[in-house]
Amino acid sequence: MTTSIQTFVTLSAALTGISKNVLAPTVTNLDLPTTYFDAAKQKFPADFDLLLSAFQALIDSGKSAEDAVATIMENDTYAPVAQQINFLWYMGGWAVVTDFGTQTQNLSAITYQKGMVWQVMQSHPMGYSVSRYGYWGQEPAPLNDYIGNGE
Amino acid sequence: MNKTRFTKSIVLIVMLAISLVVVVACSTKPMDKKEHTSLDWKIPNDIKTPKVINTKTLQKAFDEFSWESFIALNWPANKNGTPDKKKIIGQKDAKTVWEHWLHTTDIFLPDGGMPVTWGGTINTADYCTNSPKTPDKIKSLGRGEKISDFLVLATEPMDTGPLIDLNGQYVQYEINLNKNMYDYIKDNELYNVEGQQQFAAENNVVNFDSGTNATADFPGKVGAIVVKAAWKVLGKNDDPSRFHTVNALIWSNPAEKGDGSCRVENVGLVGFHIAHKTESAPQWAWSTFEQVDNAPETSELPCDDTYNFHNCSCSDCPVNKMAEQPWNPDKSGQTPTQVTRVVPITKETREMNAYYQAQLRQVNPDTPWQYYMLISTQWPTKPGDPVSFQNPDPKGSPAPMVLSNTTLETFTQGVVPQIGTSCTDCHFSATNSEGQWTDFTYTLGMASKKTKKGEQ
Repeated sequence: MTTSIQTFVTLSAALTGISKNVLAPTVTNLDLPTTYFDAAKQKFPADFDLLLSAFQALIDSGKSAEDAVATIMENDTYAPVAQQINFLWYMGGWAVVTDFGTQTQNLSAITYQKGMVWQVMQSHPMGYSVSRYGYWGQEPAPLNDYIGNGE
Repeated sequence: MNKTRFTKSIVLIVMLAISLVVVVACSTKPMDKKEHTSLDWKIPNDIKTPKVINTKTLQKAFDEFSWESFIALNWPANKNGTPDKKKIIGQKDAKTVWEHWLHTTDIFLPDGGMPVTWGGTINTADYCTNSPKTPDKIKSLGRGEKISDFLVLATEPMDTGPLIDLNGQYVQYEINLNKNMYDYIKDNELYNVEGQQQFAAENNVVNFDSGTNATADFPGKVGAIVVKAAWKVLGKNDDPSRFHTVNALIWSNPAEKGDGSCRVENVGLVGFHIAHKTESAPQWAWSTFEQVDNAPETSELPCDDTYNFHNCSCSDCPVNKMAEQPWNPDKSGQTPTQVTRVVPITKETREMNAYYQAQLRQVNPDTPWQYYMLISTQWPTKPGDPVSFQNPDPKGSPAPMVLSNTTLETFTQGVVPQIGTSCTDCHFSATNSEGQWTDFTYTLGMASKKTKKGEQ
């Protein structure tokens, strides 16, 4: 993982409240951090790099990731990009405001399936489930098993 | 010439002579087992855990596990089905270890009765009752020396339709289980519906054995293994030297609109699945191999080569389209399936294939086993308990996300989740005849109710 993507993952974990180990596991069947990093860089060619640099500078100055994110969200240039990155992790696509409200422009069928919103809901997207027959009659696993313990 | 130069020249001549002897010996002498460290008759119990754990190193470990399994399962067998340790795979095309395993048709009998004894054979005369096209003597042939196999499935295992080769012939399929799995089914009477009901009524959950590597205190063991094989009838324009071949008795299954007749054909192996439950893969490790001439990758079109299931001169033929219904294995002159491989084989797997193919060629430059390739191995990146409702990811997030064999999942290839083929995703839904969990195997759904004959 490159330094830029490491910064992106740290930022993403602080934005989403989901463990870095869940967002970017060492062993995985899908390299979502790289997919999302590349997508964000393409969508926000100038502001994305600035956001990462600003976030890294705040970390280097001794701020925690959470405090750094709080500062970022007060900045009019960085905040919209950070919000879209947060939305991307949860929904697997970009937020698009239409006459009918905010809609999701999914990057792909797989990113839709991998959206963290399903993990937080301890549920699954329509059309795809990892659980076996009869799961709906059982208690789901604890939330931390889905989103990690913050590490 | 001074003494030093003279000595150097002598040394050089001797080295050249030794090299020549080695080269000649290697090219003429049958290879000794010790020279092939990668070729072993032992079925691996599980992967060799890499020193550095990440997605790439684990994929490589599982791919090596696949090749070692392929070699061991296709090792020449003794008459009792054990590997012949005096021989090496490739020396001569011979009946293999897995071909001695029992078919699902030997285990899940139509009358729900006790499976065939391990090492035994079913009475093919029970099947070949209507053979107007074949001589009567076929009825008396079992899976002996002359007839190596009994094939009864002409539509793909997932019932997605027949695969038809360029000669208009249906590909034939079989599913075989290893002794570990057979014993579990037999011991728990899971071979008929009543036995499965009883098993569930006693709050049991199907849980096959896992392959486990040896430790200081434990000798190691092979887990439950299922093999699926696809065979092509060899005919016009086929080169039998490029296939592992057997003489098979093919039953035209009435359940698949066949006429119930039997015929003997020389068939070549074109597709091969190995599913092995292991400690590191409780969601099973799914390995799939193909004969190298099956089909081009979609990105390789247009093509000008010769394939088993693709006609390069037909650029208008619809690709990966199933045959028009009704499907009938007895009808002649049917339209061949125009097959392409949708998901490319990775560079790393291609390199591994080249390594093992070279090893096999060293044993015998003419061996048909050099013409087989691994497509990939699907394995769980999160290998937790697949049964527990408390596991947030019981499928284990398999990698790669999709995996298809062009002869076994021809029509479901692709990358879209749930639509493109994923071994784990599909087999996770497997149940028995009562809708209960069967630990990633659909075979228990083949059980019939016990009839009076089956109770005997």
